[in-house]
Amino acid sequence: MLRPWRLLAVLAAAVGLTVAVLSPATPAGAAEQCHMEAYKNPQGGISYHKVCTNVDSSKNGQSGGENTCQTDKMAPSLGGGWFCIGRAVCHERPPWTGFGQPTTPPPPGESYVFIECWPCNGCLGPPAPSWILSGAGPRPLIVQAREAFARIDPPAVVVKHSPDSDAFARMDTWFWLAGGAALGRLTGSSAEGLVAVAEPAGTSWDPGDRTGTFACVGSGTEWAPGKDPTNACRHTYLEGSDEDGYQGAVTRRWAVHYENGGAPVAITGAPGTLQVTTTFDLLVLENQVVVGR
Amino acid sequence: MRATRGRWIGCWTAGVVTLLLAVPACTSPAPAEPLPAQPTSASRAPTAVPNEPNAQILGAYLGYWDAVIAAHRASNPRLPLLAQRARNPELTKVRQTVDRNRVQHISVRGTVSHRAGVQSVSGSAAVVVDCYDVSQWNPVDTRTGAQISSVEEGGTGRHRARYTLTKSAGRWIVSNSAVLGGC
Repeated sequence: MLRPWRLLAVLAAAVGLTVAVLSPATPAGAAEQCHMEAYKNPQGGISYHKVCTNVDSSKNGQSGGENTCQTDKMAPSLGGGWFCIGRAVCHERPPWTGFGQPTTPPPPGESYVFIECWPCNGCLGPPAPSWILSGAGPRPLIVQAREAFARIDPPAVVVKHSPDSDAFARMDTWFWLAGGAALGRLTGSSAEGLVAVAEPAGTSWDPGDRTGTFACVGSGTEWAPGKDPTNACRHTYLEGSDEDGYQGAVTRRWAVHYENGGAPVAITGAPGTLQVTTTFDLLVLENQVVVGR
Repeated sequence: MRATRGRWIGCWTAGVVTLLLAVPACTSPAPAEPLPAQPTSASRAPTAVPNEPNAQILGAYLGYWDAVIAAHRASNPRLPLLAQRARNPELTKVRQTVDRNRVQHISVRGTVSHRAGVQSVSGSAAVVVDCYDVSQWNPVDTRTGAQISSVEEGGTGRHRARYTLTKSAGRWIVSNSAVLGGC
């Protein structure tokens, strides 16, 4: 026979799990979300700190990128702030009714936070409740840096090319990114005011025909009749594509440093580069030239 | 270095003898940890052999770390070995760290590598300065055994720290520590 609080906990878990499985997934976007991240101090103590990010799955190398679970599959109706602990998907929530309180008082300046984790995405396993310790004091610089970095919000871009519909084999194709701010200077700030500054470091283009990537200084030059091709991002396809076209990609790169009140701050281990990859499809036709008299 | 040893150690202290003689002086009984990959010679610190008192100090220091690792592995802040290798305030500090992890269902497992040297010896007090690396010493969930992804607070997992040892009843024991920064 289950005790009342256990029954409540089981029911709450069952309802929560059902909602999690049935609800639509959170769409990926640039909405800001806060989550807890585990930090290991020099003596091996683990503490959790809240980190807020602009969620953008196209961003490479940002904090949380090493996570092996997909928090965006969890239901928003269970509250935001999903984070990964190994493969488990966890979130902060009020403690289950009747769930035991920690017997050890929290260290000074810290508090207990109740979390609930599912073993993996979509797993029908029982959610595991737990207490974690979260620091209320100043967050370490590395925490601030990762937050500032993750708040850099690169603008969405549109890949343009000329010819503007289908390209032709053995003829130059020009590529560029629409919008002047496609590769501009960007910043993101932590809650404490540490600023991550991203300076443009160029683009690399994969035309999709397996000839490798080529680099461009900027975001390319829009083609126009008579335009100087010196700084243009150009590629010559040697063969036509199949009917699906080539799938190419452009990666914008920024070099990132950190500033506090305008003064540079060196933070060991903080992300030093930002890369954002955008894919595009391009149909390349074999141009047939008829030579005759 | 003993074949079963789960760490590599570079020791620089007074005296210059051979590497063969030096390394056993910097080792202590192996903890029950998986063996790390053999280090390359490039990864070792400039090595000199400790004289006998310094070897004892380094042995005691590394023995302290064995106890710390064992306590974390067992999630047991009251592991008897800890009290043999550390005294307050260091002992309390370690116990609190193990306990905070235990409350969170966390055990830290793996290996810690060292580049330690005796900085000074004065009577019954000694100071060891170490650049240790905890990047291969990582948290796991004690309920599932699953690794917990964590970020090194110092960015790299390599920390420079100063440890104070006190000689009592003929034995050196770690009594205090302070992290000085990265290395």
